[in-house]
Amino acid sequence: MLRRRSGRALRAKVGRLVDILWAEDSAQDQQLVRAALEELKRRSKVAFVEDGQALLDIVGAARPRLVVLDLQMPRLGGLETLQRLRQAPATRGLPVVVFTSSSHPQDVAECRRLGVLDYVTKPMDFDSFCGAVDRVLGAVRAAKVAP
Amino acid sequence: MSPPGPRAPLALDPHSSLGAPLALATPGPPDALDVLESALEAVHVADGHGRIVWANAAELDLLGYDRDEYLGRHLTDFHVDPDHGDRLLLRLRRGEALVDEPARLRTRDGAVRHVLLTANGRWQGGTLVRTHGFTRDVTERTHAQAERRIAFEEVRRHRDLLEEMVDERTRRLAEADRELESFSYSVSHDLRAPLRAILGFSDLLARRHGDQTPAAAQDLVQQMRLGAQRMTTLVEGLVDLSRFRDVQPNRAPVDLSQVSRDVAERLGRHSTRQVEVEVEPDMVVLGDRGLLVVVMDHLIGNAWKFTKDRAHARITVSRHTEGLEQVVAVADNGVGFDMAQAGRLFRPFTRLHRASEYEGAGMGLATVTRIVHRHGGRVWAEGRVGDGATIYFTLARL
Repeated sequence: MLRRRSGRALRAKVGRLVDILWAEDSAQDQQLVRAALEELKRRSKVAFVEDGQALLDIVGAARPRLVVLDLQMPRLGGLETLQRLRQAPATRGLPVVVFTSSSHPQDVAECRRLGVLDYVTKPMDFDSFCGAVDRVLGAVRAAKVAP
Repeated sequence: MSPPGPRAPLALDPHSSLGAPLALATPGPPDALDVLESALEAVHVADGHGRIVWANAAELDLLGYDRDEYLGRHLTDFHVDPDHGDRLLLRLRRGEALVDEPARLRTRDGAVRHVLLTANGRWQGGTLVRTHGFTRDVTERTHAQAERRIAFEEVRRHRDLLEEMVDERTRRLAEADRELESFSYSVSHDLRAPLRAILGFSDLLARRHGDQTPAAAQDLVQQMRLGAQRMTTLVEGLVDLSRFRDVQPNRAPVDLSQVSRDVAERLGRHSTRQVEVEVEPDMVVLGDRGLLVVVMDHLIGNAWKFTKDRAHARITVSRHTEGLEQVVAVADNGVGFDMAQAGRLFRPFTRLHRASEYEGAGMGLATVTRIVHRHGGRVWAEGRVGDGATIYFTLARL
């Protein structure tokens, strides 16, 4: 109990370690997101994990304000990850945005059913890509999640 | 036994219970028995117990007996199934007349004849004293029928076999089609990520290092980008086409006029051109709104694209009713096409114009066709080179 409180106090002092925990298996897409964040001049702290399992492993410790999920990932895909987040009491209410190249209506419907803040498809050209990343970041502001 | 004679007026068994000579046998014109004797149909007379007392030449001929062998025998002796013969006799005794009763009789040499029996009885004081039998040989007919039945069975077996083969091939074809479709979907889907990388990083290269890059190098990067963009268009078209493959239209009344106006308005916003779009009002059709938006997007988009060289570009969207169908037409006054090529228009990846002249993946009309087919409708095109094009599609009436 004491340790937890001191941990929280420490975090409050240095600021949040991570604003956004972003699951994306493609190193290139990760790099494009980073580039987009730079272009957008966003100061959000984004940590990337390479799949859903890695995200579940650290989400409790990282305590991000927002989770971003790609859908097609090795080990544990986005939909399964979303389901597990929704099953665990600690992460049930965690804001989630899906950022994927799939525009399959079935995927969209299933994500909506599991209560995602937004479903954003990855555009092909970089300008639109920046716009999409901006929309992802906007979701967390729209959700008015307390820091 | 009385000696047989072909014309013996009375060939009755002396032990017959008939008692009295047949009235028919009385001489005097016309001699009815004589007439019967020469009839082509087999005729016999039996006593009340079923013993044969008279038979004509045709009956003897049918079964292959001499008259003296035949007379006095019991009717059921000649039945292949004697029980069946007994049953027929019983029915006669009950006062029933037999009409065309099928039976099988055995000839003297053991062959089986298929016959139809017609018979009735004569009564005296409540007792059956005589039966008259008329026997029609239908062996040939039965054989022919049996052969026909066998031939028919054979044909049916072949037909069933053929149907099975067709079913099996159709199933395999559908399966291959599904596999190919899902393959093309996943390939085109997987192609997006590397394409995004090419587009994104080449863009970043130009943005961030453009000032350090020689103009010639910048041009090369630009050519790479154009190639990647073109490929993106193709891939997106393919993904779109796959997406509408198994879609089940959610039918409801859709205001196609509104949909068309929205599409035209959107096109106008992204274009510097002036295009006159005339939409027939109140075109309410039965279909899936989301899918019909895609259809009108492609059709009006095409018309917009192919009128780009016209000083007064004009697109009209109209509808008329034909029988149980509504026919929607999207017409333009653009470059048109050669009717000889009309069939190719609807094939995926097929373009009648050069990509440098008119952009596109050649998937639009293929996608339209797929969606209209999912609605149970048809699509066709009319046009002339240099004189505009009209694309028609049908939907069921409201």
